[in-house]
Amino acid sequence: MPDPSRIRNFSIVAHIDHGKTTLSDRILEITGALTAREMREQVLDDNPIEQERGITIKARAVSLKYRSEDGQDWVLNLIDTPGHVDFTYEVSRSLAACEGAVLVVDATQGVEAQTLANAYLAIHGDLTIVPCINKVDLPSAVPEMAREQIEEVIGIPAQHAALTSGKVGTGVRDLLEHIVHDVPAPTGNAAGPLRALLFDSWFDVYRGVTCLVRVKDGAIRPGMKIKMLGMDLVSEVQEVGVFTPKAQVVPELTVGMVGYVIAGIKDLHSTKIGDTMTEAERPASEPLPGFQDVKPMVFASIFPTESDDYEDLRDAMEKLRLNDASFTFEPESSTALGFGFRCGYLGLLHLEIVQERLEREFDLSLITTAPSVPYRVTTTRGEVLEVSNPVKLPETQLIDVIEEPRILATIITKDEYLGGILALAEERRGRQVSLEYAGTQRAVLKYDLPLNEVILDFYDKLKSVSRGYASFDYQLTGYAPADLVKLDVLINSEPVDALAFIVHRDKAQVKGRALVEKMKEMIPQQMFEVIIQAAIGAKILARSTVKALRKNVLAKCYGGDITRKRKLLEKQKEGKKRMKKVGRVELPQEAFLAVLKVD
Amino acid sequence: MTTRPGAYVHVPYCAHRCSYCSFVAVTGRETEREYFDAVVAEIGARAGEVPGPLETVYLGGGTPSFADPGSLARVLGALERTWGLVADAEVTAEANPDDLVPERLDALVRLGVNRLSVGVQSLRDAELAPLERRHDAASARDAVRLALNRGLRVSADLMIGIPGQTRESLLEGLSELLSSGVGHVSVYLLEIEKAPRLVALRDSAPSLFAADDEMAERWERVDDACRAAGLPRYETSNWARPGEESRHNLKYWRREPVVAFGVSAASFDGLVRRTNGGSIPAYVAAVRATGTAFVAEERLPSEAALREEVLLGLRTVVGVAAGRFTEAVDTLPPADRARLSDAAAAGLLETESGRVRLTRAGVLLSNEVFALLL
Repeated sequence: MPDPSRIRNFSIVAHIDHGKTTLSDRILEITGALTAREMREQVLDDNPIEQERGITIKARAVSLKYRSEDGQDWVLNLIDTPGHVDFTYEVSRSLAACEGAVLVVDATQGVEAQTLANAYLAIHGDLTIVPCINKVDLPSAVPEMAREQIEEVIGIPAQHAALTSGKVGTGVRDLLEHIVHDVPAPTGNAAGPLRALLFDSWFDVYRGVTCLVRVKDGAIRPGMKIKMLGMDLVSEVQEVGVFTPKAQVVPELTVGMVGYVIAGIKDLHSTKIGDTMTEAERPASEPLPGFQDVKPMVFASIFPTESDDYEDLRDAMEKLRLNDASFTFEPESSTALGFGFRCGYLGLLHLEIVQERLEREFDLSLITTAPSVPYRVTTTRGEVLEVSNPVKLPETQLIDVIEEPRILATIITKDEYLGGILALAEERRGRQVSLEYAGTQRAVLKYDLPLNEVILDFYDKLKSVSRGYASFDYQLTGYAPADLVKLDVLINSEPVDALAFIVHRDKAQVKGRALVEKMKEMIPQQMFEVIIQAAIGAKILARSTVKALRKNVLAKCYGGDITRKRKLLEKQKEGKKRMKKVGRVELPQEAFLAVLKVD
Repeated sequence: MTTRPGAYVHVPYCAHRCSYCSFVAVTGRETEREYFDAVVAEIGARAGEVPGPLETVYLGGGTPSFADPGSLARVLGALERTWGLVADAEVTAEANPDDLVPERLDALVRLGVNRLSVGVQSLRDAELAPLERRHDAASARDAVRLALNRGLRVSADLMIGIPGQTRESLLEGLSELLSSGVGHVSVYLLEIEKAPRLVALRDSAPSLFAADDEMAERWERVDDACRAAGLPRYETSNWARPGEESRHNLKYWRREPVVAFGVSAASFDGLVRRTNGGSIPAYVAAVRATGTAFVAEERLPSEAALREEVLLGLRTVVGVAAGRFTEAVDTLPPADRARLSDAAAAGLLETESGRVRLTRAGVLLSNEVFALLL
């Protein structure tokens, strides 16, 4: 087993699209883990949705062999990190397994909001940052600009930053040299007792739970009885190994190593990410510093369009949760939609991914309701409630204060777009915290914003007012009181609980009007008139009408046609299957998300 | 009373293919002789399928009036020899107004045809042009008059939603036909989805086409005008002077047996529906080899058959017996039962003197109801 002094554990962090994945692939190729021929594009993104969307969702780790220019052999453990702001939490848990972080900055773009956020995560975790200026092969690359920004905006020296091109491979060896020389070796007590940080785990039907661990003290080998510190479940290690990136069995995992452990664990939830794995007979006394439990900040309900599919949906969600500990759900019963689940997500992208996987991998037809953030409500009786579902908001007269979660947003932009961005942030009830310049024409803007004004479409709007230039990241800061109301949506005079949402009082009128108009476009004509209303309590704010359908008839139906006509009707019926019946009205899936589609 | 079967013969020949046509039809008549040989052979080969005599014969197309009367005579002769015809048998031929010159009419009468279904479609030349009908309004008027003068019963086809049609042009044409003495009209809503040339026209000149609501409005006006003229509606698209309803077509909506011959013809013996293939050479070859040319056979399970009976029955104005309706509804899943109640609550269905029927609004939305009865 490698001596800890010969191991370097690192992650690569970057703003989205700064070339992290291409650079990782190139490192794999150069270290011989995969030849170019063997290499599928972007091997670390092994989930089809990750590949389609070009983002990394789950962390993965790979062990690489590297001989440095001075002839020494090294084991480099590259721990991949997600590239989207929703998954910041998963970045921090990858970093917890490392001593160093390569901070990639696109030489054509400079420091962006996620560069900054990721750099702070690494600094906060006491990691050594190895700056790397990437995409230097592009004609528009200005490495000097990137270097200045790293020093000015982030405040770390970048004079010797590696200049790389993941695409063509230049500078990658230089970067590897920086890694082996600048990142400290892992340290730990080889004699134990065993302490290994569990930083990822997943489930497959053949092998059960696979745990990805970083050994801090001691060693893990097959036959050893292990448990999670603070938990009772003891299991016997069946296999340990490393990913190269193919799984490769090794006799043991020792201090500093990153690898997998298979121990016949059947339930992913008995392996909590961030926990410390230890030996059952000789447990460590102190857990490793884990990381905070992730708290879902976006909630939405999922209902099957066919109520018969409820049990299938539950099974699918259970399976999904096996591989996604940050996804939470609990049963919910809606007057309008029947039985479903209230689900918690890290962000809107996470929500979309979960919904897509449920539909695609489990072949379910689903209704998702508009996302909400968790509100804190103090009732007139002094109780404090967390309300993450508008349906659960107490009656107005019982509410003393509603508080909403707020964030500190960091927006980095060319200054020419500042006007539009400021207008957007103000319109979203933001309060400017600071505005600084980094170099020429580059503004770093900080805004205090309500989370519920951001989760839905803030990022899209930001991109459009800045022609795609502005970058964005945020962190939660706490709660603040706000004048919020529940906006009800009534279909043919019946309030539909699943359509209700919470909105600032000043925006209720405009939002309500836009919503009923949008829903009018989305709801197909039916046998009878459909009236859509938006209301606060008994007060109707807006109304629209879908006129009754007048004609849906097959004019001709004679002998030879009957079978064919039946098929035509079957097609029509099939089309309706994806709709949800609420009262007498059939609502298409997208109508439940209409609020996302209004400005 | 036992129900006598009907017979249908498909005559796939046309002088020209109309822009909206979705039937099996070919232009040019090179294959006509061997085709009718095959039809005659098919009739002979299937003698045992239903008991005679036949109550109705229907020559459909294509354009039967375009075919050689001698060929039609051979076909009718074969039917007569094989099953015989009841004394007052209804013998219908579909006809294009252009073909109905006096000599042709006389020939059809001599064959024993006593009812003509005339493809008038419109009495405005400007509306006939986009349909690519070969006749004009004048020849349609003449054809109807000549046929009525010969004592034939005449049904006229009209169309709602022809490009360029107005409510007025439609109702004027209808009123002219009604006062000319036709005892039956079929009025169809033009469907353009499978007619590429009409779809292209709609894309380039959408204002020529009536919106769905306007189509519905026109249909209701047609219904009013026919009723006022003494031709109440008896099926979704058919109006008749009492006693002049198409006995042949009623068989389809009552799920009664019809033997059918020729390409794409669909037969039903009361239990099984069998369909011939749509290609003339393949049909001819199949009949030569085996006597029949079925390519598809369908026997609905009893519950589905019951629902189809109700579905077809609801196309007729008399509707279906409430008991049968209830029986059919009881076979449906609860969600669809609830949707049917919604349809009734929305005024699409009504029950009166022990029968369930579609209301007038319900006829125009009948697919909403029928989709539930599959």
